[in-house]
Amino acid sequence: MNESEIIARVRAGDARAYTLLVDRCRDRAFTLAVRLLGNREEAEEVVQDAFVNAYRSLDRFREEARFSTWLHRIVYNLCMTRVARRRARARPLDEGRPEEQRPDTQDTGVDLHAETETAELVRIVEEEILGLSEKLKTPLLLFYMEEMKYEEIAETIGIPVGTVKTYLFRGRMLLRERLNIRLKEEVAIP
Amino acid sequence: MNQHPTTEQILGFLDQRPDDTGLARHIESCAECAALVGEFRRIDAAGRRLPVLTSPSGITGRVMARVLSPEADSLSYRLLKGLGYLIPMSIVLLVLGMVFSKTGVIDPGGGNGAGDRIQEVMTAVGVLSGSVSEAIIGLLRSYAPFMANNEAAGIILAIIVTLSGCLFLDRVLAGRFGTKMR
Repeated sequence: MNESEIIARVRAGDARAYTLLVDRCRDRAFTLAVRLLGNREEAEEVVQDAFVNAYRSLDRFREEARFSTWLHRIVYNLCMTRVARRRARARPLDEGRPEEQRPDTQDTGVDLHAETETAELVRIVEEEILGLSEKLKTPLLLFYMEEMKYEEIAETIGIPVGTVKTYLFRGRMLLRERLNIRLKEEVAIP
Repeated sequence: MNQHPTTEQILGFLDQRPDDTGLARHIESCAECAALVGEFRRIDAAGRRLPVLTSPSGITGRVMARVLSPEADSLSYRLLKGLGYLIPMSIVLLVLGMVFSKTGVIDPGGGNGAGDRIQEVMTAVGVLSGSVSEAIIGLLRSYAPFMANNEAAGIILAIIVTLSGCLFLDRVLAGRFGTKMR
């Protein structure tokens, strides 16, 4: 049964069919929430709330995008509400994000061509993405994890497509710089 | 294309945006740009392999419970559940008071020592404001005169009341009945 058929059944009153949608989308929604919040318990609460909110608003879902895109927008909004609350509580600690002040390391990038193990590279890329500010991290997560197009990311986050392009560009540039630094450091360790 | 493309153009090329500038031909013939493309391809490939986490096993059931019983999310439902939580605590409180009274731990002679002690404890714990703790003490005095003059019993009762009150408020205010209790 495809997504549209499931949604049609739910709209027709078969609430239990919603289980199929939940089961299909829950892991990715949970992964997104964990990466945005850095906390599994909070992420679980957010994902539950997102599914319940999506169910209650299903009549407003126009099916112009995938259900998961729409759901991820709800997850994103719920996560950002929690992040904003956290920031309000710990504002002095959250100021001065470092990524824009990192030293410019436009080098040859030779280490990225080296035979670094793929799994290790994935781990480092994940760490570096999670270390980015919210505005750069979220588009990158949606771009990589969900393989969303620019337009879908823009729809999910609620920002213009041009801004998505800018954030993705800056995010990938920062990733490259940081990876080069880290891989060099690791090579330098005797 | 004679000049090197910008990094933004290269990323656009990687994202398969329309290429009408001969970019592909340039990259094929330029080692420097090909190296940059190779770097970003590797980063993108690693990014697309980020692991998907497994969500907690009961999540579907909890979502469906909320979907199928929408009243479970309402404030009145949560309050009722909160009361359901408090009533057993109150019974425990009453039984403890009676046990203390029957076993002679508490002197039912009266006085305000225990009440004052309760208030001190509550204030020291810092969980309840003075006015709320006064209200609870008044309530306790009204139905449990036997606990009037014993400090130890008063402290125990104060701790129980404080903990149950906190749990109640936490559950209701955090809206956790809809997510955690089922």
